[in-house]
Amino acid sequence: MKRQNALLRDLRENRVKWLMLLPAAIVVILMCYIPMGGIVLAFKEYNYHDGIFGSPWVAFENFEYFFQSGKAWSVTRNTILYNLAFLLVNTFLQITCAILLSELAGKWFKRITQSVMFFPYFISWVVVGAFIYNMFNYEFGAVNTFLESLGLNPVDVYSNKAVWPFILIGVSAFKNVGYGTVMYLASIMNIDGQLYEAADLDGANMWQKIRYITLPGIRPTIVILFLLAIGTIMKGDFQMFWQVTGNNPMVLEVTDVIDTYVTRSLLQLQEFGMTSAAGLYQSVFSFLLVLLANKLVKKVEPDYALF
Amino acid sequence: MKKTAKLLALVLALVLVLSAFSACGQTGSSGSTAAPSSAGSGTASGPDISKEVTLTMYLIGDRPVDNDLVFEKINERLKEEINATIDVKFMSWSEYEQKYPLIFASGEDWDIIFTADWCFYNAQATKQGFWEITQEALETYAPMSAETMYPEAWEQAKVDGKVYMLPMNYQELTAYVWMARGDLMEKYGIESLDTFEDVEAYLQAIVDNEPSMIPLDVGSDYDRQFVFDLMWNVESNARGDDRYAVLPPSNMITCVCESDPEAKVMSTLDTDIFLDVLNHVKDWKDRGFWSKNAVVNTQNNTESFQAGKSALALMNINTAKSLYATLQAEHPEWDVQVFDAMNGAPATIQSYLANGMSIFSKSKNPERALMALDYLRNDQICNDLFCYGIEGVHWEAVGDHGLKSLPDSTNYAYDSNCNWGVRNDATWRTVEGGIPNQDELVENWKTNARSGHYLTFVFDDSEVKNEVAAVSEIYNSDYKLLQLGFTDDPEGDMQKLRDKLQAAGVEKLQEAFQAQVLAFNESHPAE
Repeated sequence: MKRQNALLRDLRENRVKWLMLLPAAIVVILMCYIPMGGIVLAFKEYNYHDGIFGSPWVAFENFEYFFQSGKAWSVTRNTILYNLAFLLVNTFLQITCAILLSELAGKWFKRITQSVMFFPYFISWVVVGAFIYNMFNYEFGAVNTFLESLGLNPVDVYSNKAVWPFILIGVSAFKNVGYGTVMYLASIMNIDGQLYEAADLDGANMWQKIRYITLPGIRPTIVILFLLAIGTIMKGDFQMFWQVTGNNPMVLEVTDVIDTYVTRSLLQLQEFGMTSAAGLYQSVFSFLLVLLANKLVKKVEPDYALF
Repeated sequence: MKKTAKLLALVLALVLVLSAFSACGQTGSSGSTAAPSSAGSGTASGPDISKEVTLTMYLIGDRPVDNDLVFEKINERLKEEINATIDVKFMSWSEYEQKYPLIFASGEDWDIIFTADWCFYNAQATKQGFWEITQEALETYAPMSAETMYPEAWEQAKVDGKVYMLPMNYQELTAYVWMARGDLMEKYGIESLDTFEDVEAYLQAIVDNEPSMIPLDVGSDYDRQFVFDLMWNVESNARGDDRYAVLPPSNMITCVCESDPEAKVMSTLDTDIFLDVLNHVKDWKDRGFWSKNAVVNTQNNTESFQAGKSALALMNINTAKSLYATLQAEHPEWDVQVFDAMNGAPATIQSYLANGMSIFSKSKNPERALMALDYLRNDQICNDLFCYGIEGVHWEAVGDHGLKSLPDSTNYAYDSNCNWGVRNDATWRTVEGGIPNQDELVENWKTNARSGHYLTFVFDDSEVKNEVAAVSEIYNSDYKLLQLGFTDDPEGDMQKLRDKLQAAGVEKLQEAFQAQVLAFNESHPAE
């Protein structure tokens, strides 16, 4: 009884805050909770006539194709490793850029740099894929044309497995660093200016200020963004992998992620149940990873854990 | 205060985590499961058309500029005859593969859709996406179609013994042709491209002398298998009666030897011609006839040819017809030439299912939809309008079976408005001013054209979906490499591919094929 009263009182006292939460909560309920019922599709053989809930159950049959050809492990591994690499490289670059920008004095230069860095975030992967193709294609690509003009031998990037992880990490940074930089920059701007003034009085140099004030100051942001990113670690950015590599079978071994593999398998089959099965596999793993990561964070920094 | 913050944080955290959880690739939507409107309310006493209805029809492609004008005329006629009008919606080529299955699931209210064996006919029919057209319904609501329907077409349209489509009433030959640059052929002294040797000489001349061109720019999803298929057909045909028939869908990589009385299903890899074909393709690829990066090509070879980036293109005769007219107008200096690429292999008489129209299983007015289709398909006025546009605006008649395109036809082009499902031999008009040697080519093909015994074989994949998915994946990756000749060790790579297919469960797949092929042969004895 007492608890309920507390909740009611809270609703009354903080109604503005609750109201502010409302739109986001509605969106999440509409877009995420209600469709969640569709998970049953993963265990059904879907037909239009009976609809989602009326179609016959098939237990785990929809999952079989994924494990049958023995590629489940390699694509899962690729997905996780790529996302980890993106996470580490992008976070590192984002923080570095944010700190550099915050240390810059020129207001205009800062603004312009920020905008220019942010811009790639809006370019579609299809266009990025075209950039890459025009840079690296063997006959008329920019890179080979340049090499030939220097009298060097052309390189065949599209059949070279070793370079693709770097290209993918590179384009991921190209697209996402600007976006993250802005978030970290905002977080740096929130640090109390008095701390820096005090440090100045104590004779701290720039490195010491970064090391002892800025980095600890943005730690909560880093941890939260990291935890959120963990949630999507099983989900390869489909557009990126499909468009940038051009779905190139010669380098699949190192570029194939769960989403591209599933697409190639089901392109002609149009089986909703099997697609849902792959989605469910990713979601359940992501969920477990988030729980695990949160537990770790809780152990180290109890204040920053999500829940 | 502190408690509030904690509570808020908790709610927020829950929201975040669960959104991450459920946002991960859910295709499920909260579609309603309302019971379908009970079909068959029509009485046996004949069509009741007292209630006016608007039918929604989905077509594929980009909406022609004058589409609304044309359909205004069609609707005038339909309103008069059957008290119905049609509202046309288009889904573009770039999105139809995703959108097509979705509109069946979306709960949207619509009635008619274009379909074909290459355009989800079988998939949607087995998923109960289409309204069944019974013999009785055909006779009641589509008497003109019932009369003109080719019996083979009706047979071909059957899925598990039931028909869900009005197939086109139109016999079509398909064969590959080469389209080449006459100016370049003359420059390098090539007279014709009738044999592979001629083609090789021409392509070699381009490789040697035109460094800014890719001689034959294949590799896109549209044409990646063209060269391989052509060479396969030629090699296979050389075996005469022992030729191999690839079973549809071709991405299952299975075939049978036509003369084999037991019709043993095998992988194309295990035929005695695969290695020869592979070596031939590989030779072309090694000589630089197409890009070293052909596997990531997104532009198809006709587009490349049209843009002047390549010297030769391989295409279907039907594609060549329209491209030829375009290029004659755009680049008369190229002196575009068309040659038979079949090398003696027989042209294919297309399945009637290559184009057709179907009715949505949840359509509110399936009977009226069928009546409308009957008019679109057989009524000279409606059919002419749909296929070629408005007479006097887009075209003018030349005799009973010909027409001349007028300048305005750019707004509603001849036979390119997704009208293919209602093509009808009885009302068909051919366009004047096509490829000069077209008649000669067609006559030549007609002498040995074949419809292919297994052309209408329809594979029921319901028991082996997982294997189909796994083999599709291989077809879209490793097999694609071989089709374009990307291999340094043909025999080794073939063995690797066999092992992969083995792991993918190809044996189970072939057993399913075998059983169905035998059943098919039982019901479709060879002529």
